Amino acid sequence: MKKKLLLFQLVLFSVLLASANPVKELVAKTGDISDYLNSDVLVIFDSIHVDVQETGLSYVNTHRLYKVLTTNGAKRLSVIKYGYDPSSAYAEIQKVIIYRKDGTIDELSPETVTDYPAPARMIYWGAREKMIAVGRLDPGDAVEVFLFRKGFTYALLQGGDDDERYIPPMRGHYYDIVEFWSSDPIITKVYQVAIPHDKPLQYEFYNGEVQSSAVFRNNKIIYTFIKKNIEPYKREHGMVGNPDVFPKLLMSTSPDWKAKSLWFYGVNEDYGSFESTPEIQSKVDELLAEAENELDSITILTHWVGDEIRYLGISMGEGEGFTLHSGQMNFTDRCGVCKDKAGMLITMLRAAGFESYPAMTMAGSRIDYIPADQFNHCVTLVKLNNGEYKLLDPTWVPFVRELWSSAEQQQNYLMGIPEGADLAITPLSPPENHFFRLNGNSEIYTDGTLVGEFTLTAEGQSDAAIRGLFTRNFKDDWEAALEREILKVAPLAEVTEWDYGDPYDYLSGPIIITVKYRIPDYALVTDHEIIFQSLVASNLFKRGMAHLYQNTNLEERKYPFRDRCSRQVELTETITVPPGYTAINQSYSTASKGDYATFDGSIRHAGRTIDVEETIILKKRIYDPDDWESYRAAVKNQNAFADYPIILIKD
Amino acid sequence: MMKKIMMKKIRYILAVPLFLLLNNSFLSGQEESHDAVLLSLTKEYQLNEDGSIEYREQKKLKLLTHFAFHRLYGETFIVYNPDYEDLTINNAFTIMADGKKIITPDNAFNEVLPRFAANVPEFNHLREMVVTHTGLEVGAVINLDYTINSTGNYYPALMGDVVIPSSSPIEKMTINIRAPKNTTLHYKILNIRTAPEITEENNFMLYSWTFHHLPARSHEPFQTGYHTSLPRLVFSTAKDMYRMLDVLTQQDAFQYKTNKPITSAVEQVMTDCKDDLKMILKLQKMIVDDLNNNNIPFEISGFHTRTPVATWKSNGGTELEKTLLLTAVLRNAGVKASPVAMIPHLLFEKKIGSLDVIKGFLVQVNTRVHGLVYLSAIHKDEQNLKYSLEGTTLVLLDPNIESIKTYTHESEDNVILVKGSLIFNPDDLVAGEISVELMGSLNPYFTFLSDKDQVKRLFRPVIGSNNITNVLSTSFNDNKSAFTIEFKNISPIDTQENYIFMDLPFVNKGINSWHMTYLLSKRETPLEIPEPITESYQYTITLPEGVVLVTSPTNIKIKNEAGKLVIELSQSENVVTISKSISLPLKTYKPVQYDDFRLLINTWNNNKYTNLIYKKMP
Repeated sequence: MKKKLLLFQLVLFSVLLASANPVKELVAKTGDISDYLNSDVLVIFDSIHVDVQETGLSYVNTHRLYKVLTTNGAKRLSVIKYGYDPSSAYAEIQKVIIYRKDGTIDELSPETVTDYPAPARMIYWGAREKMIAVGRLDPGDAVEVFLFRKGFTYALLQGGDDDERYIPPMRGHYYDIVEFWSSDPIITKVYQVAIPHDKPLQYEFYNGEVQSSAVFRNNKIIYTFIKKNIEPYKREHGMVGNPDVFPKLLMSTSPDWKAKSLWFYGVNEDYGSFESTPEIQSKVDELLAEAENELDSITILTHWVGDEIRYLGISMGEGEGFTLHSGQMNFTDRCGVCKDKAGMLITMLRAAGFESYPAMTMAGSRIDYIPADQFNHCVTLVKLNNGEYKLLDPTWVPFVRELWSSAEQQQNYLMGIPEGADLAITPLSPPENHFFRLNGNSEIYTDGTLVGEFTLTAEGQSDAAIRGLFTRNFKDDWEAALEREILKVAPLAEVTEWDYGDPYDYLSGPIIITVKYRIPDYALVTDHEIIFQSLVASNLFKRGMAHLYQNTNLEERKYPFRDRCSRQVELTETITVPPGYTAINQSYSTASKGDYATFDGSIRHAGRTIDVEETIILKKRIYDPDDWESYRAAVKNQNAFADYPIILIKD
Repeated sequence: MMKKIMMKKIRYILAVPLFLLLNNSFLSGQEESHDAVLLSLTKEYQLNEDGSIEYREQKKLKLLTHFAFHRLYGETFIVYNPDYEDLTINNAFTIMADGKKIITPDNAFNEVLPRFAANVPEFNHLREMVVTHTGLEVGAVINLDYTINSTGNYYPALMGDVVIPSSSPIEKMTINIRAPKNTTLHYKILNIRTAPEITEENNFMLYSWTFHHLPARSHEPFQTGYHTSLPRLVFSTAKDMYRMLDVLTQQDAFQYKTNKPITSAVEQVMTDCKDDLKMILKLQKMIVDDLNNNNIPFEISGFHTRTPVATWKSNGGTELEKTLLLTAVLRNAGVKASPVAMIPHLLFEKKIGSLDVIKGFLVQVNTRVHGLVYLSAIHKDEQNLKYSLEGTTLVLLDPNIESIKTYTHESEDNVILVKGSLIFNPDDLVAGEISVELMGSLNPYFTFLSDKDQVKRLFRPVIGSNNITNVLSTSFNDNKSAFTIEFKNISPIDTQENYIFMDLPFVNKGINSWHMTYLLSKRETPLEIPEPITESYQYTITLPEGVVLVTSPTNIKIKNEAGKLVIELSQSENVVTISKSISLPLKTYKPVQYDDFRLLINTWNNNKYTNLIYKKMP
């Protein structure tokens, strides 16, 4: 190993090694804050060398040189940390050398490295960190770090040979996802991997260019990827995840997604994740006693798992990370992470006579086609009577009126089924399935008081957003939470009556909130005018309209952007005005149209009534930059209606 | 006599069902309106003869909603220091709704590093035991019983500051404190009338408080700092506060020794900066900005502190460590500086030696020109903090004093006074001149001292820096800063037909900075504002020919239990005059004063008097 590392360094840094102290000279030669404005740390080089064994086990040497540009950078580098999961990886901080601006060089003692359990919430699988204290640094100082790791992200905890535990679960295979983006400027980034020559490697570099080579040496093929002068990435508000747009390298020796699918199917079946118990069977029978049809049964079981198995990961020991906990463990613990909740549902569906399997997906970013493990989430599949597979997500639907969360539309997934499967993508969810409907009737009086009522009803993900006001809040704060939504737009409002049903009874129908109110001093009243805004149009219950949180200052977008879900907003208000008043604008309307985002709104005065109507239709979750113009127009139009003053003139 | 006895019996017989009834009604009341109820909670503290301390906590928590176990109570987090403390889980199980007992399995006990110690090498030996409660469902009861034993040299005394209510109601809570017979326990209980039962138990005196039917803590915003309005128990076995502060200040760190790098850094600042206060603020900036803040709770540190040199070398420190380092660098620069501990008035008592009541640290600097200046070592201050210390006792941390020395600073006048002449030009743009006076805590004197251009940001967003053509300083000291600001080209926020909507400029300090844009209709707890305040605005607006004010003339005068407010708006020919002033003289408002307070704030915030409407006449 050491020989190989030396060779690697020899190849990459031969120029440096020719000098007396090449690193010191390199540090001196590189720029400072005046060359890298707005950056705290400069990465002079970031070199990763990976040596892959026949078994798929990998040895990873990382050699990195940082230069401190600011005191903030000095604070950031005052400790060096290296996280690992001891069940699947071994990690070392091998050496840290500080090159001070005054010319002195300090090598830190490896004996000062500490090893401790990593901070954690929700998932307690035993992750650990190694840390070495670097201490005080000043701008101009540099820190050279040597790290070593062997293992994998997760692995079977097998006994025997010492390294056996670090071999990846898809034995013999190797994959990696290498970020070539960074929040710090990087002068040179090198990723080199040596793979046994009989393991064909598929790779692709996405979202940019890289210098690459493949050479044959000692029965291995050495692939090298070099990128220079990487600038810190800049995000746009609301854009998609970094892996979708910034440079990255994907590589895998796995032949295709089908192989991964078959492996995932097998590993859980072999473990027996979905075996039922008499207790589980009894619970399934109890739950389905009154189920009338196939969908009824699926619905009841999905929501039982969603609501009753809370999201919380404790370790099952061997196999943790990729094996779904057994049904018995989940049922007794009543907790688990996504894979365990998915597993509990599979167990219960099978106990109810369904054919059911797990699937892997990636919440938050795209899965690209090289079959490297780009998954962070696990869901359930059930085979319907018609032979089709249906996706279910018990993790994302507690108190949500869906079986598959539409907040996961346009998302890639891979089914772990006996026949194997290719990568797939979830379809768009029609916006009308997520309607947000606010209907109001009100009357404005000549003293400026607005009296009225409104009914808010919402479905799908819009329902979830509104219902969360209750189900994700202290029960003794429910009424205050509701009042807050109204006071945010009308601080003087007095709620005289409200009804929000039982928010926990989400399966009985879309949430319905009715409010009667009185708002003194709502309008500006003069001898000649009454000036006010439509309450319903004023972005009431904004929490149910995530698009209103988009920053519309950007004129154009470089990257795709995302909303929480597709959505259809329908706002109507009929306002009775005092006799003898006429709106200065009898009719005001605006419309904007795009393939995926539309706005249609009008305010019309006839007789003693003013009718306010708005419809906003947003058809996707992930939008292309070209969609921005129409999406932005829809949001801006809705905001303009919220601020639009209705001016009544006395006849 | 017979009758009396009978009556007693009747009373007794009546009392039992009445108690049961009350108890049941408490429970059913809680079950209707809360997510969980603590059926019982016991906290037991014991000081042993050898100075070791045992803390035991037992709880039974009934879950009433899914929110309770999805988000609130699924885990119990126990932070401890394994170098000095041993944690023992005595019992952990869940009784499910159907009565089935689920013993918490071994894999549900996981030790992690407390998040606050995440980047702090000196504290990565700390541990947080996460007990994941299994078998949770609506109707389940979590049972947990654990003990932490501390060695005799960890804490200087048995002491505590216990906030009694929890985030859910408590049916019964017991606090037991055992101290050796020859040790006196000093204590005080606040905001609840409960006396301890004191009994002898072997070689200990047992002080036992029992509380029934405690309501849950409120979720209302703007509650009093450090929960000083809630029931709480402060106690200590130390002889008095002086002894505890003496233990604290006898540590080496309080010698303020420095090394060459520190001295060089100080000299560099002194060379660059000749003005005393500017130099002091630069040194503060150096400590605040250039070293990490290690947010380790004071009590978790065992009240130990590293020396300023160690703090400097590690490039980070706890609040106390950075406070001592700032003191050291200031002294190195020849400035008279001392650390002080911040203790809420209500919690401070000389005879109760509890370091747990210390809620923060500042550096007290004695300056020639500005007198006493208080500085934080963990954030830069806009102003001398003495203006913001109402309700706080400052205790000097000096290893050489023989008795406690304290300081208090009552709130001074925190005032914003604005007068302005605005000229509405025919092109719908507004120009004008504003004179502004900022006093007390609302005077960001230190900010202006470091960067005078910050004055241009005072009236954002209505007046942006680019709109300002001139700034003239008329008074500039820590008590009052006054400026005259000239500006032009302010645009209306909206127009419709011949109507023009224009925001008035308001200072973004004071009430605007509280983000109190609305207030709920009901209030159960005292409401605390950042500072008592007076704000006053007087604008004259000259309109061009053909433009009139639409907003009606107004004359509002309110004087009530919470304060007073005046809003006057009038137009004479082409000049509009608007006066707005508010005075809130208290820092804390009782629930009975809430309606008055709300009236003042709602009227102050009313959009009608912040956004004026004009009309162009045809």
